[in-house]
Amino acid sequence: MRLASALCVLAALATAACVPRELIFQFAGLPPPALRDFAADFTPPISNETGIPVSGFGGKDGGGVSHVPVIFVHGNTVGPDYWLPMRAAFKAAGYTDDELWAVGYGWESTRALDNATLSAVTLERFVAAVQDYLGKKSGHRVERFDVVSHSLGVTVAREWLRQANRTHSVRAFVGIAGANHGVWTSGPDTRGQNRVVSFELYPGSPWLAQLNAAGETPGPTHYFTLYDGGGWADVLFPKPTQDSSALAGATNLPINRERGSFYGHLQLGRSAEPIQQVLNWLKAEPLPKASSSPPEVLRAGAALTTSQPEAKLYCSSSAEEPRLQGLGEWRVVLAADAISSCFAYNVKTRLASPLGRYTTTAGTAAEASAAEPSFAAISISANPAPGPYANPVRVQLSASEPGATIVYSLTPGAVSSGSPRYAAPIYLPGPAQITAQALAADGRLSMPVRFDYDISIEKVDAQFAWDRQLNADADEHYAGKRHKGN
Amino acid sequence: MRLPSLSCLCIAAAMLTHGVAEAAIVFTPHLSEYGILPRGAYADHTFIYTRIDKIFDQNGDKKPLGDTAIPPGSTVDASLLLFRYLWIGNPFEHSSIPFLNDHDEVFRVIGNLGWQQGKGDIPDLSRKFGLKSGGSGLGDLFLLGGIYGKNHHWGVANFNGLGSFTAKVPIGDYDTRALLNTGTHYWTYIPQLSGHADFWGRLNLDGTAAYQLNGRNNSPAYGGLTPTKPADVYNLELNAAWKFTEHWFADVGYGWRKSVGPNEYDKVTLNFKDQPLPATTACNSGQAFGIVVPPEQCSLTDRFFIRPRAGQYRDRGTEGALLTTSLYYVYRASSVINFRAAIPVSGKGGQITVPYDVYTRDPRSNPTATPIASVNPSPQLTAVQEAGSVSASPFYELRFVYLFWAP
Repeated sequence: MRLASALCVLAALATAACVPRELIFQFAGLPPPALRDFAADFTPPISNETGIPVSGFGGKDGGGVSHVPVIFVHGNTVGPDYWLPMRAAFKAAGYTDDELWAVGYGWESTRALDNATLSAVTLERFVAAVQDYLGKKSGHRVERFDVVSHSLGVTVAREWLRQANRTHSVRAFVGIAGANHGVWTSGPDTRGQNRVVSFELYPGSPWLAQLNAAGETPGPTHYFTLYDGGGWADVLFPKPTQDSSALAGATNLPINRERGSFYGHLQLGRSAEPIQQVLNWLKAEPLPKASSSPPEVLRAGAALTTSQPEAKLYCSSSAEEPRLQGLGEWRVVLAADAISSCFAYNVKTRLASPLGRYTTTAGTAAEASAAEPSFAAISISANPAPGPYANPVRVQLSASEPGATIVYSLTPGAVSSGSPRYAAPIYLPGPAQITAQALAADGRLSMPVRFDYDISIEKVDAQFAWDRQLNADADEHYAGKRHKGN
Repeated sequence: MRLPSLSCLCIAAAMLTHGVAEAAIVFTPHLSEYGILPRGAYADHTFIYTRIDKIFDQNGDKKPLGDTAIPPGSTVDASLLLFRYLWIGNPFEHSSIPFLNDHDEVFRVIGNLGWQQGKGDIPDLSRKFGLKSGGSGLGDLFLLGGIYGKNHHWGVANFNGLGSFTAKVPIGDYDTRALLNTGTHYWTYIPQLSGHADFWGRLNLDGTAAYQLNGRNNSPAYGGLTPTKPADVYNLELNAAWKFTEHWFADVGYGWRKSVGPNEYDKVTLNFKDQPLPATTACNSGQAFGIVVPPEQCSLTDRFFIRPRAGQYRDRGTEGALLTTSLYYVYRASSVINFRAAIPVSGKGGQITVPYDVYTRDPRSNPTATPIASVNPSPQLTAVQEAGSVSASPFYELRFVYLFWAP
């Protein structure tokens, strides 16, 4: 009897050990344990994936802001704890708690990991919350951050930059061992629990094509990548994909290849030598001037200028977004019948304006949407129609007015003229809200329109539930409550 | 006088299949067995097959199964299915418990099912002792808890340690009449130190040293030819794996185990079921089970009873060394298919010298009966099952590992 009891206890423990922890805690009505090392007066935002406040650290012991604050974005299968060695190294280098922030996104579990698009929303909420917190605390708005990301966090953060039109808010972007051009462990058929990475990260995936389409290093941000490069030490990037993490236009450091070291995937963000490389690079970046205002792009007839004499314009009229390349221009004459994408950058204050799109006729889309809007009667339609889907969809957007350009954002409420330009059907690997706006050739703007797509593996479960297998006419009990990720 | 004797009984004894399995279950390291793997839950299902036709005797010589008692060619066939579930993570991560909160832990549960059967002349032989030559069913349960050391980086090498403790819970099917059992019927506790290193991102080394503390088994099997006090065992295992690509790996390994002192057998009862033995059998050294009663006693009667003398017997300890080689195919990062062959290269099996007393009256119904002679089987009785027997035949593993979620 005693043996039987002991065995039952052991079996229960073993079973409990194998059950995903978020299920255990959910069952017990408790939030999953996570690092929550924030300042007492900081209110962490609600995670877009879990519906509970995000985990992470930042601001606990204050210290004020004299460096550019850093936002750390962890990778797959780990949480904000991943950054504790880097936080210690940064603090040893003089950073304060007010300058070091990490966010936990998703469920910190590949079992329930949401796609990068969904997590980008959480990141936007977190950056906005930190910006608000530091602004109130210091009395002036913190305009720029540095982002240090690792692995999956690299693509999450890049997606956030794009969707939230946030390149002007990021001075330096560090991507450590990111799957910018795919990772062999991912595959298009690895949705749900049988995956160890976000399935949309396979080489050549439509999601990555979408991420990289408008240039890999857009905006006024300086980019730095650090990765294996040798093809052996980081198991996720073997030859011939050893340079998957590099970004065109960035300072790329294949550290193992160049320095003869053998740091593995997780070690690249936690070992002393790579951490020192990151610190050195951030220290070499010029500091923005505190308490300065970012420049604005101004219209002068068919030309653009800036609101500050030291600021210059960086524009592109191609599909690629403009980036901080060359000397910039004091004044840009807009091309006829073309949309110019521009931002202003002040080389003295190191601050930038958000990316905006401009035409030769009316005001900028950004101006129009910021001012009292008088929207044009342009309608936007989406195909397939919004709704629940079991599998990823490619959403085709079309405007009622020929020649209109559509911009869209997957970050709710963040659409602006600087949002991604619609060029090909939008690939949605997971649940997302598309907010789209049309910009007519003459500069008129449409009303923003929102399309909700609930792409969920639970939809598959509901479709193939036991009762439906026995009776095809049985109701499909899909409540739209997602648990397992996409 | 040398008797061709009861040693034949022991033949079957040669059953080591479960010994093979036990070693494979706990120790035989595979690719990155002790490395800090990504956090998550892993399922590892292994099919092990062996056909044992040779065992090691106490002198380290390979002998055919049932040597001298039955013709060569009999085998013990065994198939085992291991179900291993591995969880790697850190439940203490967000606690303030020092050390535990910044070192990942590993928990492992291993269950197994076995099918084992003596073939050829072994079933007939076992029947003569009223015993069984097969044993199938549920195996013992292994529970492991361990804690990883920190990962260190030094030049071209990354390395870490692992300290762990395994308990073997004797829940497996166990029949005292069986030559082969899937359960061992005794507890085992195994403290273990292991290490993992990779060099140049391509060469993976895994090694472990363990000490197996065995409990008592008061119900030995197969006529007492399993130890009542299995000796503790040292284990050392090393494995070197080479990465050809992210998908293909190959390795070679070496495993060595040695008992600490002898196994003890104090309930030997192995005996012929049908007694008395006719003098034509008992006095004839040419008979298959030639308990050769000394000639001076053969004329006393035409039937004899024999019985092993009660006592505490010891073998000379056991020892075994294996070479292994494997091929791995990694599908994505979540599935591994692994084929492994293990070849015993040396060993020493347990053997004991048990005197058999010869009676003219049945000692079971006549407690006062006195033996008229005593004979020592030669070669000695060979121990059976996991603790006492060491196979000299190869075994094969087909293994499938699946990472079904990561935390």
